[in-house]
Amino acid sequence: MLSKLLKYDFKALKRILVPVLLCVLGMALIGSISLTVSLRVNSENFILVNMISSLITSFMVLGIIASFMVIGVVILFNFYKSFVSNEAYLTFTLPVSIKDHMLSKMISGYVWMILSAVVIGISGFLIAFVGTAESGLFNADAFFAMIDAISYYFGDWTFKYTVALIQIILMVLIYPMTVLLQYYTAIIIGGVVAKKNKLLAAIGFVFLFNFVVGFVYQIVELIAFASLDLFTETDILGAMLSRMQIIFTVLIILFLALAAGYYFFSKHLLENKLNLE
Amino acid sequence: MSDFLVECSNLTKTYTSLPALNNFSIKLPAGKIIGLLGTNGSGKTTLIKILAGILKSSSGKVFIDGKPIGVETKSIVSYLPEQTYFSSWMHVNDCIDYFSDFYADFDKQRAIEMLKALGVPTDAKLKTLSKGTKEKVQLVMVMSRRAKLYLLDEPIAGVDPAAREYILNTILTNYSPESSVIISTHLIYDIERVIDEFIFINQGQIVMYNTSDNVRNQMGKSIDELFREVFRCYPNY
Repeated sequence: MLSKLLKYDFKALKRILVPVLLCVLGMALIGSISLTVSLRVNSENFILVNMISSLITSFMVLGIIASFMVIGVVILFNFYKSFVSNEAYLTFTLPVSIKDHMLSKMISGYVWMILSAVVIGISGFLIAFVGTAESGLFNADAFFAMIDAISYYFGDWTFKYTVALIQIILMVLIYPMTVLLQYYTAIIIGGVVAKKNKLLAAIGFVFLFNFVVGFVYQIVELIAFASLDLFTETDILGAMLSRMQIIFTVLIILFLALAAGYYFFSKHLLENKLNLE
Repeated sequence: MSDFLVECSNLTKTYTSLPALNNFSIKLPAGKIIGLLGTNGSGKTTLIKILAGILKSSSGKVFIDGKPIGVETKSIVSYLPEQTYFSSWMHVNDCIDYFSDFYADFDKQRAIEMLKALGVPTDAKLKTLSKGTKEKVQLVMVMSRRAKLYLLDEPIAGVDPAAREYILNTILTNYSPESSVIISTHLIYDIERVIDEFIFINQGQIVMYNTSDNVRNQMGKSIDELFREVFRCYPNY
């Protein structure tokens, strides 16, 4: 049944997210072209053209950033519709376990989040290296300058860096799932607790969760950096890195624990407190 | 295996402090069309929602075909809520595919025939259909299943009299000795001819559970007349 649920969840999200992501790529293309124009038409005679193209680039970049929020809202609204609105009458009368319902929403939401991040990354790459090309189609100078900078800072690659890199990759992969489950849980609680205004209650719980979890992150950071004295420390970069590794380790454990907690709590609520009144 | 299709014992559901169902106990057989009749807020929808598995009872036990409410019972229960639940972006064909995918007992051909008889185009987008037509689509999906228990919450309230007639005939022709239909409605006069048994419910408790034949033959009344007698509203002077 999970595969069938996934089929419909992917379909429901694809319907809106494919056009959004195509828009993102379109905005990146327009932004790149307008940036190229503003860089290449660098004459006092073309001040207006220069201003307009700079303005277009700024709007396109803002549009791309905003689209990431739109994608998040679409994923969460799809969850809200299926689990809390009238559609829930269909969702929860299907002969499917709550576990499968949750997994389907988690997988579909996660895949679309990652896919969207990749598309937005490509868009950023387009603006940064195609849009800034003053001649030709690609700004090879900027690209190789970036490679050189990476080689300079991480040239003497040590085990410490490898561990940090693995930690960062793990965090990048786990964090979206934790956030997704955090928001899903807030929506479910809103749906169970509120008699009316379920959407408003869900938004309220989203803010509450954000506040509490953000507070915990701050405490972790404070503890990790408490012993760091920038005035007396001789190897500041090394000291920072070792503390960052502590933070990364704690955060990975925290993200995993939170994700597991959110999942089991949501499952418990849906199995035992489901109230479609 | 139990002799009864539905068994409720001491079922209670409270919203805040008021009980919507209060120690409700009943055993319903298979092969019957049962009217669940009561005034507004009497607990009809609450009972149906508990049987459909979308509302948890505060206490008591419920079994359908000898099984507690869960995934297994959902595969044999076909539920029609008052709400329209399909996404507006779906086409009628999508609804058919959806039911085909999730319900092994869904009869696709039957659904297409019923939609045709009701004049609903299968390629239409739900967004473009009227509320009544959307309700027809939903009812067709629910009635095209070969389920053991049909739970119909106000199935004819939102449709025109012609469609009402067709729907009631569909319920009648859907008869099988293994399955039962529970219909909750205010339109007692309309459904009277199709129901075998009826439950009068008030304030979450059974007021009367009897067969239609008994009322007609022994009391010499219609169920509609009996309902008006039992639930008569007296003006406050």
